[in-house]
Amino acid sequence: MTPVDEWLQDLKQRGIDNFASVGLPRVLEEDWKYTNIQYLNDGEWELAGLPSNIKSPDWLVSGEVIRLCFVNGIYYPNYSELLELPDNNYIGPLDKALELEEVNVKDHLGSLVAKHSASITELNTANIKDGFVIKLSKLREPINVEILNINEGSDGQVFFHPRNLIILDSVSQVNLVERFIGDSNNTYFNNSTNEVLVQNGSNLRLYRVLGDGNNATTITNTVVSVGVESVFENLSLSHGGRLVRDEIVVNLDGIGSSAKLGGVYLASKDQHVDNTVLVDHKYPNSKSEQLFKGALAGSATGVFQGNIRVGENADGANGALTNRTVLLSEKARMNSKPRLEIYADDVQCSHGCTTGDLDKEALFYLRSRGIPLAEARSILVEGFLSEVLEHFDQSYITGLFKGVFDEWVLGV
Amino acid sequence: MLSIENLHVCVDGKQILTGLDLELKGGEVHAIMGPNGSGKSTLSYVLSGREGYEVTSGKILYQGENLLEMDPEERAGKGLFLAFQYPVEIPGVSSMNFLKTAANSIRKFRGEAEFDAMDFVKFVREATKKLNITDDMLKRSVNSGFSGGEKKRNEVLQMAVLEPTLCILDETDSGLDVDALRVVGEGISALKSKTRSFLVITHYPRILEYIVPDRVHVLASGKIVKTGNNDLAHELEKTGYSEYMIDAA
Amino acid sequence: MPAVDETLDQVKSVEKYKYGFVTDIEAETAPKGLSEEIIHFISRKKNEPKWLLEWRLKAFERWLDMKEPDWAMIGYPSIDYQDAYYYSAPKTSEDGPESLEDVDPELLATYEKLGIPLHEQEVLAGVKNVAVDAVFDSVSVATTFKETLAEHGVIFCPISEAVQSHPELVQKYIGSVVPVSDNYFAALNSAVFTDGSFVFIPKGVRCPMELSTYFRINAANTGQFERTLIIAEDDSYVSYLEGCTAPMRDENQLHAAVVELVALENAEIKYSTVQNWYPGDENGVGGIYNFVTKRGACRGNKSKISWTQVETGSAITWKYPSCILQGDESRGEFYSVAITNNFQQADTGTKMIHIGKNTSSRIISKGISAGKSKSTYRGLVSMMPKAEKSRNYTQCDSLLIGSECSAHTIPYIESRNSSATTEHEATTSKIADEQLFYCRQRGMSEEEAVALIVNGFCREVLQELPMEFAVEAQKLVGISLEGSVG
Repeated sequence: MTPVDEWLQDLKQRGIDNFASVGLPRVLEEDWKYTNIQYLNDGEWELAGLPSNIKSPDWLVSGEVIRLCFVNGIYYPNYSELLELPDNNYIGPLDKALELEEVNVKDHLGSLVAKHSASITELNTANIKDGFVIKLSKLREPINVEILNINEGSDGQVFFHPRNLIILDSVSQVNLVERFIGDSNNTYFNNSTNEVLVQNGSNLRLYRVLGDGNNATTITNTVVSVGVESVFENLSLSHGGRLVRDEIVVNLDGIGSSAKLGGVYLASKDQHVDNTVLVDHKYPNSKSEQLFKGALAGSATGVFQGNIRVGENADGANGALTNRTVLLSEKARMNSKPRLEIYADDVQCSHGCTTGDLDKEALFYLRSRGIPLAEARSILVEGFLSEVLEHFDQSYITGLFKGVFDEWVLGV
Repeated sequence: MLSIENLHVCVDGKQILTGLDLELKGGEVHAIMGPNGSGKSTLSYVLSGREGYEVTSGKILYQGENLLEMDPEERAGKGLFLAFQYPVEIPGVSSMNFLKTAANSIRKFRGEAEFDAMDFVKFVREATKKLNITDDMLKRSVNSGFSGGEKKRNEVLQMAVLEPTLCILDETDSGLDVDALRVVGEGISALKSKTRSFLVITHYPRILEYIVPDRVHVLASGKIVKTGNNDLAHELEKTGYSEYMIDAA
Repeated sequence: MPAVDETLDQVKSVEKYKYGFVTDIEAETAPKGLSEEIIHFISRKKNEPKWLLEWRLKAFERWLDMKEPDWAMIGYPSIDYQDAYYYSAPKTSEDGPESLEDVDPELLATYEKLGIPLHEQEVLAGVKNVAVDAVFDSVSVATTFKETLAEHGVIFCPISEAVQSHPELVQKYIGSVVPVSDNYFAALNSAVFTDGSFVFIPKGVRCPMELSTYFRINAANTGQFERTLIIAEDDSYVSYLEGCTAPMRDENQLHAAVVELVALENAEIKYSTVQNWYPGDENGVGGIYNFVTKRGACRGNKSKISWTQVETGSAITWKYPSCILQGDESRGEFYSVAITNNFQQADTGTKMIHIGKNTSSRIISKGISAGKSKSTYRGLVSMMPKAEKSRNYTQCDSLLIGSECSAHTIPYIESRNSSATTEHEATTSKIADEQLFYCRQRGMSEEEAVALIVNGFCREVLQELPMEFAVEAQKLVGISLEGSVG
């Protein structure tokens, strides 16, 4: 075994041990109060393999872009398109990154999540196999990356645990689109963990579309450290899966660091969608914004837990959080837990939160102009949600959203 | 009354006032005019003792005492009043309550008996009538939701009630239409007396119709570059400040 | 330290908490500790019927199996429940005073010193009469205006007296809003409660005067476990106010009360609290642990319960006055000011449980933290499946004074009905520098300016207090923040 292999073996063993001692989170834990995943304890889970038929990918981003494709969490080089990068920079699969000394994966992988240890990320660590690594430094030109996860599952219960690492240093910029797509009715569990370090004037824009299959469980954990004068942006669009939990922890670890987080969630039937966010202001003059909006139909359940924490040294911190949900059917329900935890005095923080039906007057106004009820509702819901997208001006996301939304509305 | 000598002031490490001299006697009205960014508001804040204005050299004597050693409330107690360019909103505190708290604080400072509630209401009513201030405005929170004109009238009302000896008016005419300017101007004019001095800081001379200055100073790039009588104000109205801006540069 | 300085310092600290004196009165006290025997002792002292003793014992049994809650953002050394007295009563009142003339003059003097009128001819603040029930440690020592109220059919008396005179009412309602095993402190209270007030407003009656209970902890090492029960029958109205103080002591004392309100059809209960228990000194030594369960049930249609609280005292406050909105079109309100200074900790808020149709609730919470204190708003708004067209509006604002305090806002919003709407807004900030400067330019000292701005910040809540108490509360806001600036 090479030293890197040994190190990875140790890391995974620690994951195995740590997970074994705590198990899956329970609803008695404050952070999991509204999301119950104990059903994952039923039956055995096996690591997924490649399915026999793999449909060809439809890429979203055009122009100069690096493309990585994963199928059931396994890197699929046939569909991936990598580009030459200047020395000491890397964008590609995890296994190759491990071999490259200059990428130095072992100094970073596991270190960010260690500070926010959660049993679900321990489970990921225990099963590290594939994933992607982005490590850039001093690349002033923005780099576009698109990751496509084709998640099919297979017969029986399978799971996979993508483990991704992003390190942007010294004024590097990346626009990253990551999509989970799944068309099957297979039961699978997609548990991905991202470790992200954005520092020294760097900028990461992350756009994620969570659209796993009907019987899938999707849990993603993204732990981010944002350094001096750096920016982290994330927009998640969640519409697929039986249960989705999208958890983001952002540490504002430098003076003048900032985070902008947006989320749109669409759920119907008996789907459960959970957005959980912690933004921890640790340094002065750090800024954060959170805007999460969703529409719930059928007997779907939505959960939003958003926390702004301002540490005692973070004077001049500015944090705002908004969560708004429309309930489109009698049985839909929403649990919202916005939270402010403030330990410094020179701060400006706020949160706002609403749940309810669509605006009756607006609905009436549209109908009085001859628009049928169903269409009027769909127009209003789309208008309601698009506020989030307007915060993030990326044309391909807006187009994608439109497609996803139209399809979703038809199913409601 | 007020004597400023070679005043140098820094804000956030940037030199704003660069050797300002001024001599204001009891009962006099002086106008300070100048272009934007010349240091006019800085002067008003230094005089009233706001934090963040660092005096790097020079001195200010007020009634023979070192003004710079005093807290803001001590200056107010000794009769220095600043009419703010942007009066501050204080939600939930009624204007009446604010006025009374201020008036009694100053009376306490001067060793005078505090107002009783009824006397104070009477006293304020007198002043409000002249300034066209309604009872409703006194009930509302200080400056909250006030129009520009209401805010400035409220400043003049406070000035009338607190009976200062030195009034500093910081751009009191800004943002006012002709009618509002007349009410405010007449209000100020009525407060003139033999012992009360005024320092009128302004960009435009129109307020000086109501309170005619004994001296007019032009402030440019942090110091007084020209002094004259009221005619200077009219001259500036025609020529503007461009001349001084070049000179100072 | 020279003697003169020491005296000056003492005078100064007494002024800060002017209710900190001790009344020297002979008390009858149960043996220390908590056991079935003690519960028998209390029940015997109060000459209680058998059902109540059994109810207490059942609560005690449940309590033994329960765990002290640890989810609140408060910290304190573990409480030794065996190291406290659970019953202490002034000896003179053993059989209960027959009339005000029988009350021990020492006690009358105590209440006079506290500014609480126990003579019926005295009129508080010159506005209107207030009936007062004065609870001293474990017993009620005097209740005023009983006869006047009785003419209107209003019952206002110590709960121990109500157990004797109206057992059927007490038995029907006690524990019906806060079940004995609702939580750790409620169970403890159910087992050992000693006194508190009982109010019954019959159908169609608008209570002719404010009712008020004044709670005083006097004895050392004694917990106070009061129990208050207010029942408003159909179409009735009552406004009730409680005040609380305690001597300054270096030991922490436990106050674990339970308050239950029941509003029947179209009835309204307005419940106000000015809580000024001893907060401990500026080093965090001493003070009351105020662990209280308050809950109101809007059982009837169109009923209304409104909680207003001004919380300035106690070393630790743990309380969540709540409304269960069962009746259609019923309404719950919660107005709160919580001020913490020095080492105080407060974890307080409300629960609004919307069950009936067209129910509405409003929450206005203002938290002010100064010194090294910690203040948390914790609230739940729940729209149950049948709460059609129900509405909630919540506004939580926190103000921070100084860099060593903290403020937290933890709301839970659960909606299971699509026609129900919830709206929640919260802000946290410090007092704006320009506001402070503006006030100081007008001649106010920094402390005056802070008191004025904070009072403005709290205005929406303070104006909900009965007028007689609003002025007092405003002063209290200023006093509580003394020493927090400069």
